[in-house]
Amino acid sequence: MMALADTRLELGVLPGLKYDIRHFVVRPGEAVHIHFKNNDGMQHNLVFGQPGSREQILREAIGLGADGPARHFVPDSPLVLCSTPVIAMNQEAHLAFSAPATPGDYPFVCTFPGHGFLMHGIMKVDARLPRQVERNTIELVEKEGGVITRPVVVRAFLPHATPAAIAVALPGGQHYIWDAGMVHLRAVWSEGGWLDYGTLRRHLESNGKPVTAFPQTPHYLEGAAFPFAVEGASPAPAFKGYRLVHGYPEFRFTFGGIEARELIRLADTGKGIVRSFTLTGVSSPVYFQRPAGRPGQVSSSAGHWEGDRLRLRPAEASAFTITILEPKE
Amino acid sequence: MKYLLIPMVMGFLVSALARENYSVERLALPEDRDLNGQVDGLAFLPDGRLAACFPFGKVYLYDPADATWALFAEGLHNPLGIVAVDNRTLIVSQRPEITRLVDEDGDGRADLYETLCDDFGLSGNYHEFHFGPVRDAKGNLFASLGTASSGDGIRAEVRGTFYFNSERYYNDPALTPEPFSEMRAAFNRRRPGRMYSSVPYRGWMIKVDREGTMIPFASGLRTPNGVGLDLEGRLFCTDNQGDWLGSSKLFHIQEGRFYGHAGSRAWEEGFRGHPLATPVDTLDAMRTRACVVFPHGIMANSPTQPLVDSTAGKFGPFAGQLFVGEMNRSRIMRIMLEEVGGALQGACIPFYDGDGLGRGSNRLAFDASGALWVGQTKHTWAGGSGLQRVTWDGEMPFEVQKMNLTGDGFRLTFTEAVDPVIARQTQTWKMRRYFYRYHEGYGSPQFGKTDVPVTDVRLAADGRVVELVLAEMAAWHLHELKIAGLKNVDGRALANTFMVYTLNRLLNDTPPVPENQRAGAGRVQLVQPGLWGRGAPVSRRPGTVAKKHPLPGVHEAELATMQGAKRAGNSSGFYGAGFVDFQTASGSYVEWELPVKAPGPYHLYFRYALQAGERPLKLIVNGREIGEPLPFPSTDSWSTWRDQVAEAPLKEGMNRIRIESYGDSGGNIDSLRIEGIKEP
Repeated sequence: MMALADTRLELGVLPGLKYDIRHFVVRPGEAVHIHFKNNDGMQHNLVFGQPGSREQILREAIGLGADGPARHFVPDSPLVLCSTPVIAMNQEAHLAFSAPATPGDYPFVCTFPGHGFLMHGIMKVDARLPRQVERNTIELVEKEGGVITRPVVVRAFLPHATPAAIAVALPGGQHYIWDAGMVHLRAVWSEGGWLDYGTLRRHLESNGKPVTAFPQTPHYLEGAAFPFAVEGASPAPAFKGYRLVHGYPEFRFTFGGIEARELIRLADTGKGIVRSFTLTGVSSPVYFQRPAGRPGQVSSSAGHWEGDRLRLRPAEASAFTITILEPKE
Repeated sequence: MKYLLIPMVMGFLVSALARENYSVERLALPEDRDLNGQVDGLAFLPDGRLAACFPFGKVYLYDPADATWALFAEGLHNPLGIVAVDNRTLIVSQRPEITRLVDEDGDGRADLYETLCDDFGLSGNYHEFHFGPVRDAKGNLFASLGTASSGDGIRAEVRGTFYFNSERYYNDPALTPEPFSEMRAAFNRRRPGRMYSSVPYRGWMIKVDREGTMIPFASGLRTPNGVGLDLEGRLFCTDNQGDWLGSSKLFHIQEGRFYGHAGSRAWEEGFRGHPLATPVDTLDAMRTRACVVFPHGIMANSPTQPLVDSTAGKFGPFAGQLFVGEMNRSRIMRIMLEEVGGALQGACIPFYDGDGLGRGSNRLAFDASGALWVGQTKHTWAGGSGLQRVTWDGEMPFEVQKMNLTGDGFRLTFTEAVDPVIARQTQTWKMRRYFYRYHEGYGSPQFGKTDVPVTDVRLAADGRVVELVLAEMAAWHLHELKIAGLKNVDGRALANTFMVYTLNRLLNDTPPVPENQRAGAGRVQLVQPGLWGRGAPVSRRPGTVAKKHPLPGVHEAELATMQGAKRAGNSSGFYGAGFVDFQTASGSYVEWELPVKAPGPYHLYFRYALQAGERPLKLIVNGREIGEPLPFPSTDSWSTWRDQVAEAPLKEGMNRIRIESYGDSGGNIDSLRIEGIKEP
């Protein structure tokens, strides 16, 4: 927490559909200037609404249908206080307004389709609280003393995956293998630490023969089968690469006519991961199959589970998270 | 003898060593614990910075203006080549894909790692390297895919269709493909030939157009470590001596052509069966021959990237010619090509040899000033490490600039006028010819070695053109020329005196390729597609010499009569030319016909190998079953051979000794040894 010097705020974007501000406090009626910088790979806007109106605004934004893009996904609604247009990566927008006279928790949200379920914060209008801003943070420190303090990406022959696999170490001690050959996450582990550097190095510098192994059994494994399905379409997944967002790879892939992105970060507890999915071009329900018999380990932010199969309506599928936690002892 | 003493400073010596008119210097690499000094790819950005990729999967940018390195990308899987698109965009070939690296936010580091093409297979065999890419004027990318080594198997999961349990491979509706998981162990024991292609487009050049569509472009490659375009946009790649390559080669790659390595046939449209089952005559007729062959051990053992001299004279008198690196020695070669009979052919000649150049020159790039940058690597093979720069001093070197075929010999064009007295002497020019055999075996000796006398020398008026008249013209032979004692008119010696011209076609009336230039037509009998688990496709290990059993009285199984069993050689430790592999569970047999002088009881020693289980066989001598079936228990591996001993009476004269399956298949049978039982 830090004291807010004035009502001027810089607002940015973190990986995984997050504004970098969780909440901030202003005085009723005072002037607020927000400098919104989209330093993310995706398009975003910034919409302030009446207290408790976030979900309704999102519903109305979806209701814009084909008019949405032209109207920057901002519904013509009394619930909306003010908004920026949709801005692309590296664009900026300024928003100046007077804070409401009535105290309360006023949400701000990105109404770009699929983003608002995750990408939101609160403007607290309250004369009694100290002016302050609380930011979401991601550690971005270089690797020091053998401790991984930034995401590390390695491509090599890896266990439990095709030869086209990617291993990622997350700061905080979770490690995963994302298989570009099968186009999905294959393993997550924390025990035993990161892959053996010496073996990785020998694989990459020699003729490619030495192959690294898991240091310990992963706490989560997915089989080779692609876990997503689309109603009425063949998934035919294809890997399209990844973009580094603050060092975190955001995987890009397509299946069943859908463009998908997945960004994996540490769960808040540190004992698992959160997979943030952004899907575009969804017009039919999407299904995600989790490994059998682990309902407590794999949960989702949207949709409903039919046994081990998650069913997501198109609106839900556009942005959701799947959380994978280490099994309790 | 005088020595020039150069003060040495360990670690960052920048010393210029030189051949005539060219010098080489070594440059410092980034300080990074993930680097080991080896350089795997080079390309210059439009702004003059150098992009270099390193084995640990990193890409750095080097700014010659202030001699600093900056990390651009990391986490790549063995990147082996770079194309610089603009100052923020590179395209690299890494093992699993062709990837575009884009610095989107302009902070000097790539943010986007975009997969441009991963439409090819990976079995996890270590030898499946991915070389390239190069980009033509239309924006098409070309990259080459190495085959797998029989010295290594495949991984539990592969990317792409696996050929050797596909219906196309079985080519028999009666055979149902085994599940991959069940056949993998057997496959890893019995790999199909020396270098093989088990997943799509291994052994192919691939093309990726601007829309990202992959087009299988040309086939028949083995380890094509080096792709390049010349100034006319013609595509070239080198390939390394080994099976089907008697010596290393430079190919002019054209769409739809096959270049001779059989393994890649698996991915020809409509191909069925085993690639090694193609008769050598057919393969030889299908293939496009190399435009240049690099004689092994003399010119190059592992040629690398061909790079065209695009400097328009800033690097000397070789504009438009190709330079080619060489891994095993400190050499860069130069190629002199011409079109004869509708195809390219020509000569290779050393360009830079020793004189400060390191070994392992694998990747080459010209900077805007016309200096040649050289990245060196080894990856456990012979080679070296480091980054070097070759510069020209601007003075004319004394070199053979061009070598062309004439109707009765060769025309050599020199960079300077030659000494006419020396040039006119026929003993100045020593020509010999030979060929390398086209066969599945690893490499080839030189065959048909013949000295070809130079009978006359014609010297042009300007003194720069020498025509050699040969006693005989022979198509389809390499012609190796050694020039002894030649000087220019100022008395300066010729810088490089040894060159080899790959004479495929004559100017007129080229005869067909002699049949003795290929070998192995009987090979097809050893390859019978089947299920990997039992009686799988077999292949003799080419190059292994038949080893004779040390004891007398040994009769090789592979020379015996057999039914439901096949000759094989896909293992080790056997004697003779191979062994016999039982194919069916019942009624298969091997039968020896042996003359015996002294009738009486004999010990029969059946030498065999069996990885697991027990595969009993009936023993039938002269039509009569002898005792209980012989157990033939496991020897724990297919390459561990033991004797199953039996006792049987033999008669004087010819005896028929048969072991026959009766419910289970047999082990691999190497030989039968008989030994008379001496009465006490």
